[in-house]
Amino acid sequence: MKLIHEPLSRRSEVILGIVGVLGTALVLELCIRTHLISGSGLPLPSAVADQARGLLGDNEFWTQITFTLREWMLGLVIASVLGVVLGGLMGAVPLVFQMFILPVELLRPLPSIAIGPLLVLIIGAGMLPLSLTVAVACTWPILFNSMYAAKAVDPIAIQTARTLHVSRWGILAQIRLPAALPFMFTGIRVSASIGLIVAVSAELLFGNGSGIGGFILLASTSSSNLDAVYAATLIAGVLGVLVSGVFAAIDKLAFGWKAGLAQ
Amino acid sequence: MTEHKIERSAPASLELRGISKVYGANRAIDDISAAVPAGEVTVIVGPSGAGKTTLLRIISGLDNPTTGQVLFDGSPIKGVPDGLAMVFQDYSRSLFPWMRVEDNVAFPLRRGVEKGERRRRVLEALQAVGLEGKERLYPWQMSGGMQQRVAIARALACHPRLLVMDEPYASVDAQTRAELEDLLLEIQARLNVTVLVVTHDIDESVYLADNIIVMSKAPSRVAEVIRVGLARPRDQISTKEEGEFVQVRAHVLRLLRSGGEPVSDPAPTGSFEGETGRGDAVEVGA
Amino acid sequence: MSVLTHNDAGRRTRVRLAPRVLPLFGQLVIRLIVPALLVLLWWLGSQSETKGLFIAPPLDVLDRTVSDFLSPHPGDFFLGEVARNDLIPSLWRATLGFWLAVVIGVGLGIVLGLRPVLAALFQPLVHLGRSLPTPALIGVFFLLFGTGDWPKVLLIAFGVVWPILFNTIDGVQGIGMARAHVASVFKIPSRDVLFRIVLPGAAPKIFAGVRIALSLSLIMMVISELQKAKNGLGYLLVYDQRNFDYPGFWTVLVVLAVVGIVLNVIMIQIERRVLAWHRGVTAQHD
Repeated sequence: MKLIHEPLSRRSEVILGIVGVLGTALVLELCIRTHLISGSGLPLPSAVADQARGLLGDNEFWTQITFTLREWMLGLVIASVLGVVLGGLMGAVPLVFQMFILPVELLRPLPSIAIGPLLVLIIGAGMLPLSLTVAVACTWPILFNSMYAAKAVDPIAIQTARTLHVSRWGILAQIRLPAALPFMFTGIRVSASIGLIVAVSAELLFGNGSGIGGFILLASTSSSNLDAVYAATLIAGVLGVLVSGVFAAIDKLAFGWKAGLAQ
Repeated sequence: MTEHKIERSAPASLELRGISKVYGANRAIDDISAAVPAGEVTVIVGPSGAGKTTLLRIISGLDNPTTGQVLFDGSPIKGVPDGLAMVFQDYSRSLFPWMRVEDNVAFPLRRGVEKGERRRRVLEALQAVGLEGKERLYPWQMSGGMQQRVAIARALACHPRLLVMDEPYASVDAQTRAELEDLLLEIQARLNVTVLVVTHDIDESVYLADNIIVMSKAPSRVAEVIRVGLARPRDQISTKEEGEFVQVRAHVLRLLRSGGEPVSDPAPTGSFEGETGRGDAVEVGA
Repeated sequence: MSVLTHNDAGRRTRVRLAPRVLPLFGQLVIRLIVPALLVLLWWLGSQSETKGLFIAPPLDVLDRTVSDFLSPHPGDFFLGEVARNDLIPSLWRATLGFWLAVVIGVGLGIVLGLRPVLAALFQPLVHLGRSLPTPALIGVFFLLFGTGDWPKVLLIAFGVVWPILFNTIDGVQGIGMARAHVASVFKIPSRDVLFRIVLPGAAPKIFAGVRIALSLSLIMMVISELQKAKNGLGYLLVYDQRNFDYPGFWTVLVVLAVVGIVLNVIMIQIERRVLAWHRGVTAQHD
């Protein structure tokens, strides 16, 4: 078994990636057309792609996309603030850790999807309960990452700063915070992807018809338009990939230096 | 239980003929031709970036040269030759932390050596490197020097005919390094195995070597092959006080500083005979 | 609280101990303040005139949980009616889906991790797959696999395989050049390479992925039962809502939290044993 491989060039990776996607779509198309896989209502790639193109040209659909994005962003911001502050404090101050660790561990396993309907009942329909559902799902990765980040600052760096007569606040601002930021951001990055999926799912499961998920909900009531459902699902997935990519780019841009950290 | 008298197989000889390695537009190794005599310690030194590790990978069969051949006991190698064992620089990354010391040392023996013999060889190898009794520990429970000994034991357990070492002592402290150097010389004398070491530490190269192959900077060639006649067994204190040691050391240092260009030393104050071995009377650095 | 001890200069001095060494009772109080406050908030919410309907009072919920999910009969394994009719089937489906995902995720992950070409081919698809909103796929799965348990199990598996696949590929690709060289130089047979180098080496990352998958499988379990279900915790959530049985709804939330915690604890115990060596290694690096 060969473990050593020549690393692929960036170009090869991209080309192979495109080949993979197109190839899979082709195989699926052929399988369905030749009735290798049978059943009505299966996602035929060409039909789905058609629908997707149509949706992307539809202003109405774009309104839904923006709704989802705004809902997601609101939830992510709430989760980030909560997660960074609480997680950071828990990591830095043992007393805070002891106070909050029990409720955090007890609430963490609760699926946000289960709490969502309750929020809708209590708050009413609209974007807020959906954003709060997103926030619930997103808080935990951010919180735990921030906690570990706050705890794990390199003591050598702190000692170096002390010998250079940096003040206590200076150490906080110039050593602790920058050192903790990249890992806090990793938590935010992970949560961003989770959040978008939760956002669409929440709209789909207990929304009032807005957003991409809402569109899917309304479209799936009529079984004649399954392709639209598939198309919207695909668009949601692609959106997720794009969001992942954007956050990865931000990570590299702002925190590229963390690769050099002794970890 | 029958006592197995282990056949110490004859030490291997190596010959490098016209090795070159080109990566795209980058000519890392230009032309390396040299001999690694059987049963002796040969050390390769060179400036950083001279491609020492690349050369070692080619010699051990892990990589293919662009041109040239590696002859192992006279025959060209195809892949990794039998009878070769290697010690890598970064012991912490070459030992397996999920295995105990005894399993790490026994690992290469799982193919072809049956269980009882494996155990015997493991204990024998650990004893040779001074780690008896430590076989049940995990590598990360040991110091750096001890971990490198485990890596050496793993190589020895294979009863190699050629032992190749890639900057084996670069990651340990100076005192441990001195101990490990002496350990290597002792093992080599006892087992009569051919040893090829790559190092950037000049003192170490002169201390260990019977032959020193000095590489030029990239694109690298053999700048010079120096025969070291210092008496064996060597000693960290007395050997390093000998005139020949001082002169060879200085000569190597000058060669490295000049990037492989021929150098002339000031009048020797002791007995020193250096051979410049250039197979085809080709000028270095031309 | 402080103790007498000796400082570095050998002089006797008093050292104030950190607040961590408060008496046990004090520690308990600190840990319970916030949970108590939260329960109080919960109760206050349940008393509210406008929203109180949806927020069942804490004691009622506790009462109902016990009566629904527990029973005094050893013949029923001490499980109450709701536990038998809904919790067990839910957990059963989730377990099947989870293990299916583990087998596929690790197996495929190893193959893709070892072959960069395959990994590059499927990379975009893997990224896409894990970004799909899984509730939207309920329809597809029912279409393909009919009604009953099978589509639910497969949906759970589909939703949960991605973190395992991702992390396995990452873990396998991160084995490290040094270990790969060792495998080559010592000519380790393929079987040993797979089971004694690749799997243990990738194990920490694989476990990280499996941990995420475990908590995700609970979520997927609920999602898979929100439509076209006859039993299960997710089914109960919908059913109770429709029948305005809010205490029942809250008991499901409580049980979900408990199940999640129990699974987490089990996971930590298993990891502690299997990855003991990993903690040793990372500790050494500090």
